[in-house]
Amino acid sequence: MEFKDYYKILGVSEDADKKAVKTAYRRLARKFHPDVSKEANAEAQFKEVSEAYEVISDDSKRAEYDQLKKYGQAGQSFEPPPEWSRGNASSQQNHTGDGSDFSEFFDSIFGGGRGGHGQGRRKQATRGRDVEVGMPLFLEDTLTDEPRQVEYSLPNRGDRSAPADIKKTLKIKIPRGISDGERIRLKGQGEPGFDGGPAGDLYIRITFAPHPVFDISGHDLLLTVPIAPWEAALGAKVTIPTLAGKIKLNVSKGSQTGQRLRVKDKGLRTKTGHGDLYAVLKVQMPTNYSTEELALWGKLTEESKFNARAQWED
Amino acid sequence: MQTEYAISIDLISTCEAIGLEKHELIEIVSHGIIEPGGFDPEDWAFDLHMLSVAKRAVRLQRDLHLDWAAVGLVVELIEERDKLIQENNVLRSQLSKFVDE
Repeated sequence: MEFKDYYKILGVSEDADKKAVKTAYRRLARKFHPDVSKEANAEAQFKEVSEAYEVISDDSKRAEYDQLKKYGQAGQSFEPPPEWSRGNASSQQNHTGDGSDFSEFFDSIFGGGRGGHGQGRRKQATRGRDVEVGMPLFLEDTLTDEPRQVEYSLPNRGDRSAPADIKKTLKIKIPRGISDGERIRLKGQGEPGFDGGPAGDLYIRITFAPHPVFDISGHDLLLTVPIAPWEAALGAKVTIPTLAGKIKLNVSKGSQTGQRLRVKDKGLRTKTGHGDLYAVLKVQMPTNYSTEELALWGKLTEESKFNARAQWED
Repeated sequence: MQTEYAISIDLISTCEAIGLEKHELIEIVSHGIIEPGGFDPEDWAFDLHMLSVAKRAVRLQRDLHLDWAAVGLVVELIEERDKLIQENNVLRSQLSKFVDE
């Protein structure tokens, strides 16, 4: 186990007073808090900072740690000295309320969060922690009711004979009309409770994989449909993709780039029906022209009264 | 195996799920951080989104030592930021299909 230099983690000196410790913690907490931080690895960093603050902000834990610090150095392998016994009864409380997962180093000094160390500790029924797993879905997958398999692992606390993580597999039905970022809650499928406490819950966070063709707006889909200039001028029937196969779309005479055509019920599923598909037209110019084509454009130049920049004329 | 989808969750179960005392959850609601359906606390119905907002609120309050009014503001700004990021992604993706590089 690695020795942790809590002072270094907080960026304070060993004789820093409480106020300085608090200020350092608040600054780092703002920087690394997983809810607000965009830093890489923010969650792990925040855990380290919280753990350091838990110890250094508490007089008796800090005294205990200072004693131990004589035996270890940051980055080096560390075992508490054999004569070390948890003399101070300072640290039996639950650290964060929803279950701590401080490091092994912390547990070895202060008795640990759950189930493992802490001999002689009064047993207390504690609810297991909630677990959140992500489930990426293709848009096509949201159209079926087929059950999907979710695999996740629960951290094993306490039982040293069992593997480090307990793997679990569940089959779940994705509720109709689910949106990107929404969560499904499976009650009691999280971490088991301790000493008779109830199990935590499993949250499955659905994320829609970006689609190469469709964009999402609520339960509606947006599709950019390239059309030739003469199709825009004269109208056309064009074939477009939907999530459930190809369909024909009527482009009316005199269409424009940016015009949105609504195709009813071809969007994502809602709880009771379907969203719509919006086909957004984009007039696409050819990149190569034959001599004949150029002649035809030339004829158009002579015939047409159209001024594309009329808005700039006085 | 229990695989129920909880859509509407009452006050007691919400407190259990977040690890909060009843009075703390009432505090969160009184600051308008989440707005459950129902008039009296006994009739309040929470959904999963409210649960995750309340969890986030509790984390911010405990970890950053904020008061509830500040938590309300931060939560609102984070939600707004997330919505803008999502909107921005959709618009970017649409634009990339519209504009030829």
